[in-house]
Amino acid sequence: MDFVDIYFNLFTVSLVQGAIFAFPALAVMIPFRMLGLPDLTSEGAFPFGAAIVATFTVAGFDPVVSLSAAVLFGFVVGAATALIHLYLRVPSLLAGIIVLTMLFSINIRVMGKPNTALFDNDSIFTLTLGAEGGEPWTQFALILALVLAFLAVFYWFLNTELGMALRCVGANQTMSRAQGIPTHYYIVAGIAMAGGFSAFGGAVMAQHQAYADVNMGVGVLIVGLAATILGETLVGRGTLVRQLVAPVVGSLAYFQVVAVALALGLKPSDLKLLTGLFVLITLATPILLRAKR
Amino acid sequence: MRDVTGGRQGPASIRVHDATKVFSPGTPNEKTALRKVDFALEDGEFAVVIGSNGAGKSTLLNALAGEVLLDSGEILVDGRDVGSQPVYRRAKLISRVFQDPMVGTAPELSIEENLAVAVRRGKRKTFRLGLNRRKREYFRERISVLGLGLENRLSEKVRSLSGGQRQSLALIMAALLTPRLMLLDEHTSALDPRAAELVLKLTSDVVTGDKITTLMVTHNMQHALRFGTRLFMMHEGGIVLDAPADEKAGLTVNDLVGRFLVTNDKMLLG
Ligand SMILES: Nc1ncnc2c1ncn2[C@@H]1O[C@H](COP(=O)(O)OP(=O)(O)O)[C@@H](O)[C@H]1O
Ligand SMILES: [Mg+2]
Repeated sequence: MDFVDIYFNLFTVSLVQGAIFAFPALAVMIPFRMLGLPDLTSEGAFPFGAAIVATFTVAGFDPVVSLSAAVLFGFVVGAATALIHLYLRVPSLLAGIIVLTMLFSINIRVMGKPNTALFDNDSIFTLTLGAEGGEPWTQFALILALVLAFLAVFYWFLNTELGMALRCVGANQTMSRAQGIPTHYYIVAGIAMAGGFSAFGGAVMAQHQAYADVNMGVGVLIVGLAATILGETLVGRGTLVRQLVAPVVGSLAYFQVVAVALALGLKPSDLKLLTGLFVLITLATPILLRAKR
Repeated sequence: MRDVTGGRQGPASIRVHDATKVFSPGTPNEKTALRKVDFALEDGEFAVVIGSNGAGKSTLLNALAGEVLLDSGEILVDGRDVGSQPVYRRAKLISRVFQDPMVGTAPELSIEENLAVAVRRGKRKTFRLGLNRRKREYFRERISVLGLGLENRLSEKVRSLSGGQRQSLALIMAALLTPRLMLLDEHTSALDPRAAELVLKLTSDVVTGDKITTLMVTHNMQHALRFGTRLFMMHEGGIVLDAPADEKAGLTVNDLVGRFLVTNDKMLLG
């Protein structure tokens, strides 16, 4: 009885969370799966997007302009990681850690303080769902529509000559160069796009909770990874559509699992441990199975 | 003006001038992979390169493709020095098929997507769709000459193809936009004999059909004699035999093995 009540309360809120985290999940999937280059920048781009949107909003820009600014700055952050990796020869994971560490200071500089409240400001939620910012159900519908719109544009892009070249670079760099593709430019563009996705997620999150905080990014990466893996087991990744939809489905599913865990009485502070274990198990299973044979 | 004809009739489309490459210079591992290699290829010439392991054949092809930068010497395509251009820039003029079937195609892309990339080789990419009905029609036609039924599997990922099928696809891709020079580095050596024979036959058809200037490395003497209009033998980083078509036609496997032994003896005695 207790469980059902709590889960029922958490259900729609978790849907909203899941939809928002679809963005950083996509930002994790793109470098890992499409570029074959593990990247951690999304952990830093997420709070950066929040800080940018908060600062622009407080400065009086309208919500859509503020969100666009977040995406743009997310691009820059992603590109910075890729450039550090490619031209300074820093391993991509380390490049990401360096960037996200520096972003912590930058975020505080940008906002002028570690957090910014946006209670009295407009957001895409107040803009479209009324002054109160809507109910969880309508908020979910709005964010999901945004996710699908982004996915549609991204899917179209990946089927253009440019997008096909990008996927080609991810699949085989030697062959790509031999086909006249300047691989470095495409890697920068790909990681930049991932940065944009993550920053957009952080920005929407800040608008949704009317609050931006430098610590919002902690654990985003591992949630994105868990969502991607979970989504891939649910819908597969055999086709481009499945690969793109997997992080979204995975993120929605992940937050429902979290809601169940919380309803069963788990402490929210235990979630990161469990998420980490989940990722570890999915990564280790094939290796352990092979060792047994 | 430099004489780019290489002392032959007709315009030389490709000229390698005094190409020299030393790996790990000044270390105990110092290795001269190319020593003053100098030759020219006429338009449409199909040159086969043989030579013992470590003779410098791959280094020569890598230098032409831009994977290896020369220490000195020039690489001229239609009279223009491309020696300092990166691989992706040279791809406009030079295409290649690699030895390893895994290297020449993108496994995660479909057959038609691989072809779509190849049909824009060295060209500026745009926001236009990479595939459309007209292109698919064209790819289907080009790939049906293989006789492998791949024209009915255009949307399948290349990952699912066999080594021979991949090399055949790679060859079609390399010739899709007629290059000024095509490089083939032991591109059949990873295949079983039947697939190798098929890909070689296809190579010969494509090269002669489209009159593509080609440099093909092989370790198979019989193939070296059967195919091509010119024969190079490399040894210790230099070209020790350059047989034009008429001389090549008179050669036998024994002649080639003899030449191998002679060059080896010379090295031993010298
Ligand atoms: N990247 C490299 N670094 C060091 N040595 C190399 C490299 N590539 C080739 N070599 C050396 O140069 C020589 C020629 O190699 P290669 O051109 O691959 O010969 P082939 O293709 O004729 O068998 C060999 O001695 C080889 O060990
Ligand atoms: Mg070789």
